[in-house]
Amino acid sequence: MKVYFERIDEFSSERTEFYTVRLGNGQITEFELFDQKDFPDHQTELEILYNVIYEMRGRGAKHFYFKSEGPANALPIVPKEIISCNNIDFGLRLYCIRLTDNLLVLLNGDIKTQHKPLNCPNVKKHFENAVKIARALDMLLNDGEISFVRDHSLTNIEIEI
Amino acid sequence: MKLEKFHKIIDNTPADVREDIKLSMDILERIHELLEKKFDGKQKLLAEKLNKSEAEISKWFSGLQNFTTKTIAKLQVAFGEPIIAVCTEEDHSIFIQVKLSYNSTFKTMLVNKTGNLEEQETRFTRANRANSTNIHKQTFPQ
Repeated sequence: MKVYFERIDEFSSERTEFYTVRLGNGQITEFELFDQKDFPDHQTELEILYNVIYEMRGRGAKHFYFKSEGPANALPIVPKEIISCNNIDFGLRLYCIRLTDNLLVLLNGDIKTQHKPLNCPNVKKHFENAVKIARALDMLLNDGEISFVRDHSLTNIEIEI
Repeated sequence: MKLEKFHKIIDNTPADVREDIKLSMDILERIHELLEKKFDGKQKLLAEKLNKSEAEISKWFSGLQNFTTKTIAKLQVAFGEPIIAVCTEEDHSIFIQVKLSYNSTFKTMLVNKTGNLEEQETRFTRANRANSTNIHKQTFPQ
């Protein structure tokens, strides 16, 4: 499946470039698909998640805002009091790939119902896609085919997962 | 790109919630800055200084936390530098408190940035420990 990167112009800034991806023949990007979902029991988490992303425009995508999920990342990390309000699940997950402090790829996510993402029917495919895309980008970086030292653009990059 | 919910949530987030998130992110950034500066970025060294396990303190360094003033105080002492500062109207005042032992009088002098001197004297009596307070105001030449 081909992966096409799209810049999120609406909140990219001089400090932080935000991207998302379109998978295969899909017309809608992964972050738009996430945005269309309803999480009625997780409104507080969603509010924190979106405001943290909004704040990153000026602060950068610092590593300590993210959960590490192997080669990929996830948002948000919220105070445990907020997660324990939803004690039937493990809270909201938006998978993403933090490439540098200035370059972040927002993907898709959902409510995580199992400790391990691969055991959760909601997030399994989003987690797997995030890991595959992150590995593909890592390979391109290691092979020297892309570099984010000067250029923070992903627009012309296409990868296969 | 259509991100309707994103914009709706950003536009409708109450000001106090937004302020809470910003403040939490500020604190998170500051403690990472101080960890780098004072402990070479090593949580283990900070944990040793605080007599805590690395696992106990690692949660403070990842994501948004509801820090208590007690935890912030502990971290400030360990880092030897402030994490947060509190605003006050008396930002530019010079504050001196002098205890005069012979008659248990406390004298407080405040000089604000416009040069006004306010002197407050508090005298304790032996009988009931009640106090009487005299306030004198004096203006310094600019």
